[in-house]
Amino acid sequence: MPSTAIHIALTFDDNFWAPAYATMRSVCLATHRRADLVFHLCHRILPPAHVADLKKIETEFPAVSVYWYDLDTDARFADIAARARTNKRLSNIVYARLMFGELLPAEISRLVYLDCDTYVRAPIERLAEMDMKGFPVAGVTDALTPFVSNRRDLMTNRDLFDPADPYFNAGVLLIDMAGWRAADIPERLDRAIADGTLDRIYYDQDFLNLVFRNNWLPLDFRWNTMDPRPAHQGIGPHILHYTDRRKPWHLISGTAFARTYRHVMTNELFYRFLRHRIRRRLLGLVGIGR
Amino acid sequence: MTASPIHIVLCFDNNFWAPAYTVMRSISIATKRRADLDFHLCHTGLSDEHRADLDRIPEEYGATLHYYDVRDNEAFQRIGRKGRYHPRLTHIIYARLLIEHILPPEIARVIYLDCDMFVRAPIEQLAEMDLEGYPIAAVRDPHSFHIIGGRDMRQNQDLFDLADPYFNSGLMVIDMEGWKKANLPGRLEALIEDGTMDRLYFDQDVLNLVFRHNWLRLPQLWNTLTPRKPHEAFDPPNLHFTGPRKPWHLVSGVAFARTYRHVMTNDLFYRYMRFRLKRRLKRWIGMK
Repeated sequence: MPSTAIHIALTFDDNFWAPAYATMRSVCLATHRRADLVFHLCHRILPPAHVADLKKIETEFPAVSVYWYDLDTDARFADIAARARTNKRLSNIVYARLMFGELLPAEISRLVYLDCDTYVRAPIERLAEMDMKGFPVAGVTDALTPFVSNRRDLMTNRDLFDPADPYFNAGVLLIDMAGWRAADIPERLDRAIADGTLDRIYYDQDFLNLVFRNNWLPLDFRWNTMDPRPAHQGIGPHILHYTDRRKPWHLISGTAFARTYRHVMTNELFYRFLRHRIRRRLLGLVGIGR
Repeated sequence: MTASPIHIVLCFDNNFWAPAYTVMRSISIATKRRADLDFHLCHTGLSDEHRADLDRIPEEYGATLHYYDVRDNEAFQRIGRKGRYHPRLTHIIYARLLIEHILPPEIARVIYLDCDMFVRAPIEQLAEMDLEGYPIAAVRDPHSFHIIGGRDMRQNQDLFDLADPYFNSGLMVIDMEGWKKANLPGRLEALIEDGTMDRLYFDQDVLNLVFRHNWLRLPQLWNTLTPRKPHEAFDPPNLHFTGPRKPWHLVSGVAFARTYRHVMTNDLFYRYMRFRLKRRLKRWIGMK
């Protein structure tokens, strides 16, 4: 890995291979520093066809490096996944990002984490090489603060979260790995599972906000523009984060840059991913698979 | 108050006189330097009635208008008519590539604006900004990937790299000396002749090829593309009504649609609407 490497981590399961490809391709298209890009893909079991799709990144951008981390063969992940609360839509892949300290090579000092429902439009080095001012993580204030943490009538979990505290969205994070490791996330996670905290919070995002409370650098909203609609196109967002139910891979989505996104995913994969989801839903209806 | 003129260039045809009037009036409303405003209007023939509308700008604000019928311009005749034609954009779009042959040579700085704009901040902020030695300043085009990359982001890869910054040419602050050095008319002629022009997104692609890595980035909201209601809260200094919805439509859903009608003035707004209806009817019955 070059010393100027830009490390980017994605976590996804097989149902998300196509958006993961689109996120990676958007990063590659928007920067000249392709030779410095190092992707760390933390994934669940992938069929060979989907691996082949993801490998197209290296074919199109030969300078880019990709490292694969199979979570299903990782005992630490299996242990957490078995103990932590799961969600039908998110699945326990969400806990993978809590394991970066253990999973990724120790020599990485700076890491960009991207959700797979993001679309990067600016040179990623502008984020990756930002001055973090000594903070262990940098992120964007969640657009739904304080509803995410305090829920109904903003009364839930008030013992854990003060609605006046800043709260970040964990979909785009800039991580100083030394600061991250110092936070001792595995130990905190064990405790949160043991004392029942994890059962009553919003997955890993709430957890990370507990761990890094008032200890994170707020970034400009353009670095994580949540639930982007066409109106956001004109204000120059750097990273779009399709947090809403509407997704740019839907045939009709009404999201920002939906058409461009289709061409980033490439039309062939866009429609194949559509057929994949339809087939999955049909199989789910008749009770085969999930 | 200083006496230095602020040069602004607009390019439009007879069908676009009303939006041209509106962008001039919006500029005149938003600055106190009204008497310093020098509007240079490049057109392809204007009816007397439309010209009378435009002449209300100097009457109301003391600004100066200069008319240039580009059909009489030798460079425009030679190059402009050879370029690729778009029924909606028409040949007038090439006029802005040839301004060095149209405007008086003594002008040092000029601001080019598309006519589907609505300026809300003092224009001298652009006219007197530091260009840091660059020939032009502009705003990044949020749709650049689509414009350049095309299908699956794989088109024109020999001409453009998607990672290169790409500007929207609807608003440009131009240093005429640097602009002339770039030899736009010569480059345009060459692009037409070798067929490259047929693969380009009109003059905007040409400008981006010529000024690649040689332009200063302006804050995004100085050219707020496709503005909608949610943009109003950002107090954008300049709106650019790209896309099919236009503020001169009766119902448009764009940002500041109501204010725009009053900037155009209600009389002209409805007269412009009748003008478009009449034109469309004539086309339907085959009179045009």
